Amino acid sequence: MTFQVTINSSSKLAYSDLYVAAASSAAKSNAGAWPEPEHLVKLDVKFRDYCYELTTKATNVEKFTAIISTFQQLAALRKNWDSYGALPLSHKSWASALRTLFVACDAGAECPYIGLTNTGGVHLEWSRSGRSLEIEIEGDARQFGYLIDGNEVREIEQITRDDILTFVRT
Amino acid sequence: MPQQPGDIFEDDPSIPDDMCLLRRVPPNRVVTEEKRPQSDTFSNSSDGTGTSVDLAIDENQIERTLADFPDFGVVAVTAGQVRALGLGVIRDPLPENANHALITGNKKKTSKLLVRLCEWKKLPKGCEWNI
Repeated sequence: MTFQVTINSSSKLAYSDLYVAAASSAAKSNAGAWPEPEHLVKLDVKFRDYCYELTTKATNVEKFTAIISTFQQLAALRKNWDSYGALPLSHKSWASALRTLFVACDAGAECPYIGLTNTGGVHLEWSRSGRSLEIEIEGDARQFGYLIDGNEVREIEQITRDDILTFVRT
Repeated sequence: MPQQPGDIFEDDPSIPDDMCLLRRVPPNRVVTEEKRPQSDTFSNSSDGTGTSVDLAIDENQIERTLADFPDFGVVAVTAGQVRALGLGVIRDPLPENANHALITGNKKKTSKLLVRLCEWKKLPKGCEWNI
């Protein structure tokens, strides 16, 4: 069974709103039942004129709501948001970051720190006791991965879901 | 990644190693759990020029740096710390800011170390730990 929820990045959204929406959808399709943890929830995520469809377990809805809420805040930043000429969020980097986050978080990774880079890209960061795994997604959607441990910075080419899961599980 | 103008190493030895270099940090660029700025805070400007900083020539420079940005914080690294990472510092005075300078050199990895070395001089709005 799949429940459908539509999220528009131009509108304010809180977890409770989304859950209400999910519950409402469930009520329509299943005579008042709430989504069970293993039920699938389809999220239609919109940013400007672009729409992406993500399907995940109901247990992940809260995590994805937090991610989308963060993107809403980042998408609201205007040119020069850092006072040094930074560019606003680009659609390509948003879509690429969303896909990366969806794949990683759907597989069990927690929500990372999400920030905007000054080129309109997205910065993702998971930290573990002094170590960090960082992914920089440029405005043109190119991805660069880095593992930082003390004074060492190692670049990871072609970062994968397994790289992320291995890091967050150590 | 193609080389940007700000990746080309230049250094002005007349800037002493103990000179503090100030960089503004907006409230949405703070990794709260780590109590530090986001890792790309010291990356080149979006136009590819070097990282803009202000030379802390006197004790009032922090106020001048934040004059139009009351919600922002400011961090400092020394010119010596920058040089120890293989980067350089040059003066780049602007009409409205005589103390403007640039950090030059390849910051692909070193910018991540700079945010771990830098020191908060003022926290951005919303940050509630002590400095």
